[in-house]
Formats: sequence, structure tokens, C-alpha cells
Amino acid sequence: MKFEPVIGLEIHVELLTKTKIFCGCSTTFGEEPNTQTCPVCLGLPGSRPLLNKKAVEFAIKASLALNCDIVDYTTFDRKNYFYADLPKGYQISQYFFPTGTNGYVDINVNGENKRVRIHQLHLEEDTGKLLHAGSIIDSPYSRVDFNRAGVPLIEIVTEADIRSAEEARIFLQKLRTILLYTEVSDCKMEEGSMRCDANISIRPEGSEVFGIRTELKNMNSFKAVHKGIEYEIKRQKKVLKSDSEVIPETRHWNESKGITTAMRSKFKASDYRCFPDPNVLPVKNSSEWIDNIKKSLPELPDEKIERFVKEYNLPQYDAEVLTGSKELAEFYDQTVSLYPNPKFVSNWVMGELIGLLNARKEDISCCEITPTNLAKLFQLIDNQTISGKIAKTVFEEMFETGKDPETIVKEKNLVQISDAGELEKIVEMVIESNPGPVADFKGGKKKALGFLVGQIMKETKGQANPQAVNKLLAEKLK
Amino acid sequence: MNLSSQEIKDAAWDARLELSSQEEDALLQEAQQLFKKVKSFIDPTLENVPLTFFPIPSTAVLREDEVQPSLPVSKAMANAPDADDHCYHVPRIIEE
Amino acid sequence: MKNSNTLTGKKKKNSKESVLTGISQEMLSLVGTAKEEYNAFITLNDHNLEKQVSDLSMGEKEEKNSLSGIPAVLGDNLCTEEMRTTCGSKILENYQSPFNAFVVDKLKDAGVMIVGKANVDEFGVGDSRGVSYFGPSKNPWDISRTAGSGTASAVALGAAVFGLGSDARGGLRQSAAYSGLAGLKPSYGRISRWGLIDYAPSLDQVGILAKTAVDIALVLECTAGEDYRDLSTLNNPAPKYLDILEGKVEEITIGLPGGWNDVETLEPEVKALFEKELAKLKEIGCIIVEVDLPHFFKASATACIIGAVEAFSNLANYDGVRFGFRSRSKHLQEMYIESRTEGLSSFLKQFLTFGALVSSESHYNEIFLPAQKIRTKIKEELEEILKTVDMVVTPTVPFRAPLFLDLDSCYGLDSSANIFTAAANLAGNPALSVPVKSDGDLPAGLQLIGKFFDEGKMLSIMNILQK
Repeated sequence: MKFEPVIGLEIHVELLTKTKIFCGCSTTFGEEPNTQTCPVCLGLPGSRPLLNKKAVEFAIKASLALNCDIVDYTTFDRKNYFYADLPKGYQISQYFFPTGTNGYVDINVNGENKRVRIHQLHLEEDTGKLLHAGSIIDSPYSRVDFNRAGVPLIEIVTEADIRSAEEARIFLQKLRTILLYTEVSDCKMEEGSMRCDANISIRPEGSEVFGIRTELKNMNSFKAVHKGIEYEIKRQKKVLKSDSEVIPETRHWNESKGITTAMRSKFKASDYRCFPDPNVLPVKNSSEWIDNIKKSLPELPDEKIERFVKEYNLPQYDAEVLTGSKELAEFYDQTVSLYPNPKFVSNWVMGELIGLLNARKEDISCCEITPTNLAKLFQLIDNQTISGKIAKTVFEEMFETGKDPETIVKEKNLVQISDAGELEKIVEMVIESNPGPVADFKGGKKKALGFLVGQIMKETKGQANPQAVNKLLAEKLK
Repeated sequence: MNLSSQEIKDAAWDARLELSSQEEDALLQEAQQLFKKVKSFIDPTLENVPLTFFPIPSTAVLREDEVQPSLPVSKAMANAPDADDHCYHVPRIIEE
Repeated sequence: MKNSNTLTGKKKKNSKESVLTGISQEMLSLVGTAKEEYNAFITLNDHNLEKQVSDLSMGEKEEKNSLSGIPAVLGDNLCTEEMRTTCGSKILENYQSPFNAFVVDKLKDAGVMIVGKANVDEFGVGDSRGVSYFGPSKNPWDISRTAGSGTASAVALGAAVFGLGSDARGGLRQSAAYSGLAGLKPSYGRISRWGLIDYAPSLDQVGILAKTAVDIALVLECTAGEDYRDLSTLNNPAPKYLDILEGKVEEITIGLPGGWNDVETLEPEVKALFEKELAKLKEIGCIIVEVDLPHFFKASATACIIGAVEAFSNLANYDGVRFGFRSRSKHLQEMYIESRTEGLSSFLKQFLTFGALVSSESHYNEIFLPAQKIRTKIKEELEEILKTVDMVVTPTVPFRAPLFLDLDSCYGLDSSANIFTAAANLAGNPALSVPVKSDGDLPAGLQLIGKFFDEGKMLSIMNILQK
């Protein structure tokens, strides 16, 4: 029997507010433990929460970017359970009225378009962190740091629309791109500002009924999401094929062993007894406010792709690569506005620029090259000051130093030799010193011409104008 | 419809409390009476009545996203039953 | 009980220094009595008190405020930096708050001398039992009876001119009635609860205990107002209560809920005292009309359901991690159970368990949500009636201060003491317990429930009654 995986994701994303959701403590990552805490986020007696406007705004912004309907009235609700990283004994979350519902993200899987529906997006507070000298299992005690407690989070819950580990990874990457565009989060999986859990079940292909699902946690990178889900699908298939049943449980992705293991506890909370927190009064999202936030949204990846294809006539693939980050897309857009040859610019950005960035593991945001300088470089090629080949050398120099191309060309004396008189001497010299290839060419071996051109380029350290060289050679070898 | 002592046990457990069997019995009786009383208040006219979780109708005034000073870490730790200079300590998370 | 320590009385004297020294000595001896004989205090402000007295004598905080130099007591569920805050519980026996409650800062700014922290029912949940981990708060009228709270005991004894406490289902008003004092539970949102360790945030308010309407008005004026740390206080600027008090009381209509005298636990003495006081209200020109408030008498049970659920959640931070009592245990979840079981009283454990029971999946829709709807009915009904009358009047408690021996028959998860008081908490309206004195016997209380933010009118009626 063939099985079909059915996957839904729950993604927690920390919002980039300056302060926590219910108090004025800073949210800076990586500070000394418990230096960013106060009576509110420590849950000290007599303290009361005060909701951060920016957190609400960011949740609305993210919901809009994910095509959600925005709720106009919401409460902040207590989800009650006991755990060492939870200071108050309850987490405040939008249980009854999530900020966003009924949205979607379109993804491209192997050239096919697919829509993953967003069930809801809600705002809540993050928990603290448990620190251990070794593993949690061997540790005789845990240390608790509440710096993260109260950092605003959005939780995005998808419908069970995903059908493979690869789809899950692609969806997650697209989601990250969209959220980065809106600047509500830095979405760093390695720092935990983006975390993903997966609900996974499998069913016979063609079946409409859902199988028994497990919840998979602790996947801390895109790769882990892919590998963890893949493993869990295989495991469930094996269970079903051996005529057993999948146990509905929470499982843990063990990165080093590459397996998932069950997490069981007799203390696991099952009944959260949610009710509106009387200390946080309800919030009204006025349509005026929502409209203003909508207006503040940047052009999102899908809109950008459409525009790049339509306006710039780019292939879909180029458009997708170039919109991979907002900064890259802006870089591209600006360069094209200064040098209106979109495909040519795309080739350079996708080939040379992304190549160098990837090799250095760097991001466009720390790139030294400006759109203005890149456009200047292209103009130097066009007006034959340098050849396309030399341009690549100049480009590398620009990437390293941030200097403008004209300065580099001058400093390194890279100006193309187009002067017929000067070139002629070199051409004649090369013909003289290579009688063999010359004879070959004259005997009909056209390939020999390439060798001769190569020799001329070598003599001129690549600075000869290739068109002029070809023309001269053709004349001399007639 | 009667409450069971198991329900009382489960509720105590969820509140991370332990009751003696006397306390359990007493609570069971009193809870039973109160449930009966509240149920006697329920009639069809209640059906479409809204819930009042908040005694005042106003909505929240939201705070601007401005950093306020945190507690000095020594003050944050001052009441801790078990801690080092920077962190609270709790016993093993794993139950075995 | 001869002592008539009131604010207005004090202010008439002249030489400030001698007055202050006089007051402070008299007061300190009363504070000692209140602590030793009546168990009114959990913690005295020993060191700071002497400093405050000398600061005042040196002329600091010179007459800036009518409360300057006045001794006050705080229920021990109001956070203070200079004294521990125990909530009457073992679990917070040594808890030192890193911040002051809003009202504490307000009082200190006004030059009030805080003499100490008073005994409170553990986390305020016991209403007016007046019993905590630190023992019973004894009633100055009869030491074998409860004062309802240490705050009431201390104010009644004259160890302080006024006291602040909390009122979630009526506890503060009841302790006022038991101890012959006035007790105001202001409108929800009138006084900031920042630093009040409440158990039911949708019911609790900071309340004031004192002997006269003028004293309550002065304290209300000092403590009321906006505080961004308690959202409910925003957008309701407080008026000058003293000015309202001076105003005339004319053609006040007061509603008396039908069925008030059918309350099972109503003592004949309370009924008689209340009727006598009603007659006085008529004498001063109030019009008493009977009103129909059928849901009013469902308030006590309803507030018990809602209060227990909120308390179950609100007291979940007492887990022995960041503060408070911790029991030695092998692992985390066991530590929670043992610390909370050892740190909280038997009654509180039952109340919190009840809250967990009511809000559990199997009873949430069956009990908890209907209770919230009944709350709506109670609130709407009261609002409607208060469009036709200025306020509603009832006895405060159906009985007078119970004997410690009889507490269990008057108090439970739901207490018969709350029958008249809980509605004002559910609806958020202000309510004032006016002392009703009897000749030589235990006092009782008359309760006025007013329109939102109409505390001034209730206080002016009390003021005239007291003249």
C-alpha cells in the first residue's frame, strides 16, 4: 500500500520589538542570565502586565502579509500549566481570538504551485530558558534564565496541507522570507527566534481520513525540519506496515542520532483551562489602524516576483532568486534603475554577486558594492573601457574594498587596449612567434585562431579588446 | 451528574496540590452543593447572555515600545530559595 | 473602644511638634497592644517608624498634605519595600518585595506614617474569617470574636487612623461591619492595584477602612487616580472628594432590594439595627423605595465560582522557584506539589482545587461559563436599577462578628458573609459599609452600593448620618 504523509506546522516567531510584550524589559538576545527581568516578567506578586503596542502591530502586520483576516476584538487569555520556564504558572496567549485567521502562503514545489493555508496566527509571550551543564537527562538540577520570558511571539499554525518533508522545508523558507520582508522578526532558527514543530500523520493514498498523528519538536534548522519529518514519516510507515498503530504523542528530534524519540511525562498538562486574563483588558483593532499597517507593508515576495517577470521580462526562476531577500531585491531594483538592462543585471547578480556572497557565507546586507558602482562597472564594459573578463576582476576588487570601478581600473591600470596601432604590434609579434598554429589555421583548422587570440590576451594581461583583436587577426591571416 | 472523588484528586493534581482524604471529602461535598446551586440559576433566558470576564467595558490602553530599566540581577535573585549569582536553580526536570 | 482616633480630630491641635510626639507615643503604645493582645499586625515598621516621627518633627513634609503625619496600617497583601509582604501565608513568610504598591508610594509621598503590616486572611481568600498562618485577628469589641482582618482590628483599636486592604467578595466591608468601622470598596478602576497581591483580579479592589466619612474621603482623594501600571484606572480622573462631602444631600433615592430580610442567616439583631438605620436615612431626607433585584442574591455563589478559577490561576506563581517557600524534592513537579501543599493552608488548597475543578474541561461549559453569564445579569440588573435610584442599601453582613469557634459555620468556599457584598465586586460598582453602632453590644454594618465612580455621594450620606 502507498502512504501519503499529512503534515501541519506550528511555527513560533519572536517579534523584533525593543521591549517585552507585557513589560519594558529589553529583548536583546544573548545578555547575561536574568539581567533583563522585572517584577512583571518574573511573575512577582502584585505585578501586572501592560501590553506593548508594537507587539500587537507586528502581529497584525505579519497576519496581513500572510493574507489573513484580522480580528477586530481580542482578549489575551491565560493558558495554565506548571513548568520551570513559566514564571506565572500560565502563559498569556490569544486563545479565543487570534489576530489573524484564514490566510495562506503560495509555494513552488519542483515547478508546481501549491497553496498552504494558514489556520491562524496568534500573539503570545515566550517562556524563559532552562540551562544545563550537560544534558537535561543527566543534570541533577537546572538553572533558569528569564531573559526570554515575555518576549513577544507569534505562533503561526498551518492547515494540514503539507505532503512531504521537502514541502515543509520550502514552505518554512518562504514563510521566513515573507516575515523578513515585513521586518517583524529576524527569524534566526539557530538563535531560536524562529522555531518549528510539526504534526505528522500518514494515511493510505487517496484516503480522506486523517491518520493518528504525532507532534515533532526540537528541529532547530531548516535541515533538521527536513530530516526530522522525513524520519518520522518513515517511522510511521514502518509502524503501520508491521500492523501496529501509531501512538499519538510528542516526539523529540534527536539531531546527533538522527532519530525521533518519544517524550512522555505523567505531569504533562492536557487541560489548559484557558480564560481571558482579567489583568489585560480586551484590545480593539480599529479598521483605521489595520489600514495604516496595511499601507506600511512593503512589496512582498510574490508581488515582487510578478513585477520582475512582467516589467523586467525576467524568467520566473531569476525573479524567485532575486526576491529571495528584500535587500537583494532592492539591490537589484536599484541597479536596474541605473542600468536598465534587467536580464544582464540579473545574470551578474545571480552569477557573480550571489556566487561571491555564498563563497564568503555573507549576506547582501554587508556587501560593499553599491548599485551605483555596479551600474558604473557595466557602463565601463559598454564603453569598452574594460572587457567583460576584466570586469570580473574589477568586480572582485569592488567586493573586497568597496571602491568604485573607475578608481580600480585606474589604480590597477586595467584599461582595455583598443588602440589599433598598439594592438597591431602585439598581433604581429604573436603571429611571428607561433608559426605552427598560424599554419594550422591557414590549413583550415579554425580552432587554431582561438589559441592565437589566447596568446594575445596573455601578452596584454587580458586587456586587449577582444573584438579588435579578432578583427586584426582576421586581416593579418588572410 | 455527581462529582467523583477522582475529579477532586485530578483537579488538586492540576493545581499541584495534595489534599488529605478528609480535605477531599469536605471539598467534594461543598463542591457538589455549589454546583447544584449554580445549576439552579441556569435557565433558558441565559442562553444568549454575553459573558462578563471584565467588570468594566473599556479596552486596553497600549504601551509604547520603550525600554524601562530592569531589576538589578541581585534584586531579582534576592528572594530565590536556591540560586547562584545569575540563575534560579530548580530540581531535576526529568522525573526518573 | 473609647478611643476616637480620627483624622479630623487630630488636625485641630496646634503645636505641631508636641502634637506629633504626643500622637506617636500614644499611637506606639496602641500599636503594641494591637500586636500583642489582638494579633492585628504581622510586621511592625519598627525602625522606620521612629525615623518617620523624627522627620515629621523636624518639619519635613510640612503640612503639604492633610494626611501628613497620620498613622496608617496596610493589609499584608500590599507590597512594601521596607517590610516583608507575607499575604498571611507561610509560602511568603519571608518575602521581600522589590517594589512598593502604588498606594504605598502615594501614602508615603503624602507623609503618612505606615505603622506596620496587618494580619490578613491568607491571600485575602478567606473573606473576613480573620485567620491566617500568623493566627487570628481578634476583635476589639470581643476578643473571642474575629475582627475580620488585622487591619480592622488595628484601626478599631486606634493603632492607626486608617487602613488599606483588599476586597474581592466583600471581606473588607465585612471586617468594617464586625469592628464598627466604615469600609469602602471603591469602583473597579478607582484605585490602582499595582502592588496589590490579589487573588481574583476581576473582583479585587484596594479598599479603605477608617472611622469617619471624612477620613475615607481624604484617603480616597490621596490614593485614587490614574496609574499606567493598572490599566483599569485610566481615563477616570478622581474628583475632590472633600468638596463633594461639603455639598448638600437632597432628594436621594435609595433602593432596598426585596427579599433582603428573607436571607436565611440574617440575625434578628442585625435586622433590627439595620431597620433603625434605615429610619435615620429617612430622617435625613433620603427616600427609600423597594427595588426588585432577583439576581442580586445569586452573587455570592457566582463570585465564589469566578473567584476560585481566577485564584487557581493567579496563585500559580507560588511555585518555589523565584521566591517563597520551597520544599526539598527530587524533581521539579514533585517540588511544586510539596512546596504548595506545605506552604498553603488547608482552606486555600481546597479553594484552589475547587477553582481547578470548575475550570476543568468537564465543568467549564457547565459551571464556569454560566457563572460568567449570571455575572452579566447581576451587573445589568444593578445598572438598570441605578438608573432609577441613586444607590442601593442592604445590611453589610447578615450577622455580627462571629466567634472564632463558629467560623466554620459561616465560612466555606462560598461564605454566607458574602451574600450582600459580592454583587458590587461582580459588577465593579463602589460599595460602602457604614458602621451601625448598638448600645454596648457588637456593631453591625449598613451597605450602600452606588453608581460607578459615585463614591462621593455615598460618603456624604454617611457623613450626615455621623453628624
